Amino acid sequence: MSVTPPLPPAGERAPQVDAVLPVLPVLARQLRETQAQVENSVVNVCANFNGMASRARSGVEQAAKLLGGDGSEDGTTLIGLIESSHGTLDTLMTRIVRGGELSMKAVYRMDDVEEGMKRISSILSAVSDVATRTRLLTVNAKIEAARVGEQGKGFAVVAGEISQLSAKSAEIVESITEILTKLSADVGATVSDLRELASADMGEVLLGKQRIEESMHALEARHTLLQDRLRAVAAEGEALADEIAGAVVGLQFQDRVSQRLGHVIEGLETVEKTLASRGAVRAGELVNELQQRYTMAEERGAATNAPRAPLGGRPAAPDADVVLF
Amino acid sequence: MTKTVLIVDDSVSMRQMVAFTLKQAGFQVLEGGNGKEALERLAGAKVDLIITDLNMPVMDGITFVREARAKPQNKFTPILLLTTESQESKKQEGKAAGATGWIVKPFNPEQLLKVVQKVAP
Repeated sequence: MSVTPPLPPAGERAPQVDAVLPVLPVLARQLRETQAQVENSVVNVCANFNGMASRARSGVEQAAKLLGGDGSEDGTTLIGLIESSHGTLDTLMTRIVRGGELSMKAVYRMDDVEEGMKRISSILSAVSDVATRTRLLTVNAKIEAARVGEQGKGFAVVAGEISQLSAKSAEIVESITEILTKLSADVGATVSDLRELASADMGEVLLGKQRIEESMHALEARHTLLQDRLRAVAAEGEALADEIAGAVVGLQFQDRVSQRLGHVIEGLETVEKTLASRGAVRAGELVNELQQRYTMAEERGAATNAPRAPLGGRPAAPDADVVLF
Repeated sequence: MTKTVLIVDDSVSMRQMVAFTLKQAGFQVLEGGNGKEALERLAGAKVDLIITDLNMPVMDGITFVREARAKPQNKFTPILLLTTESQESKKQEGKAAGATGWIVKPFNPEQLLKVVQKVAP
């Protein structure tokens, strides 16, 4: 059974007290400096943490935006552009093929035109031949008319008219032939161009189309891969939010530590004052006075030797520690 | 419109953590290191919410709440006490002084934001 030692007479102080007394302010100062160092370090850590957390959050938000709309201001997406390009390419190919078909049709029509022009040329040739023979005939007729004499005069006039008409037809045939020759040259050139257009190597066009489609498929595949990765990043965002919340709770330890150290320092100062006063005081009174200063359950628990919570930080309690009045 | 919160605590790291949590949620933040500084901030700015510690030098939280409530512009401003103190008698003191609510440290960011959104929608 422990016995409380008697108090020294008033005005006297035990020698051990004189020995210990100077130590107390030193201890208090050590604790104060420790308190300040911890506060400074944690303030710096908090500042860095805030910066890192903000950047991490910003990165995740950017990823989420990219996932949603590729970040473009008008809301168009890459996949939308790829699909639109497929459609445009198909339309282009259809038009190229159609153009080829129409060119071939035009070539066949021009072939018919050429054929017709050849027939006209052949007819003109026949007409020219008729004109030549008619002129010969009129020469003969004039000769016969002259031989007949006076009675042949009328016949000679008719022959002369026929000769003139024949010469006129020959002129007309010549003009038409000239025009036909020019037209034939133009038609020939047009046919040649149309053939070239129609026979544009569809093989090369199809190969080009295939290469474009392959590029677009590759782009689509890359886009899908990017979307998958962005999805993973966005999912990490949730885990990140939880970890940030945990870190915020953890970093609040400095406030609790600082308060407890402050109370310990006050306690040491009270002990120093009490010992230096040479007055009579009971141990119980000092403990009560210290307990009045405590603001945390664990401080009160430590003072009464109550079972302590396990080390490693106290996680924030659920809604029980929140009261709305 | 962006809401403004006044954070009052003598611990710089606590103010940092509360400010970080609120800024991430889109709030603007003013700070004070004790009750007296906080009253000076309130004289110069309209705030939508006050979050204050209890144990502070110069002017403690209970006194600050009482004096803040005495001013007409703060009559309906929600005031939350954010403190390590969990004794029921202290909570009643806070309520009597005019506080809107009491949160025991350490706070969980998600939980704090829920309370803030409830008292200052």
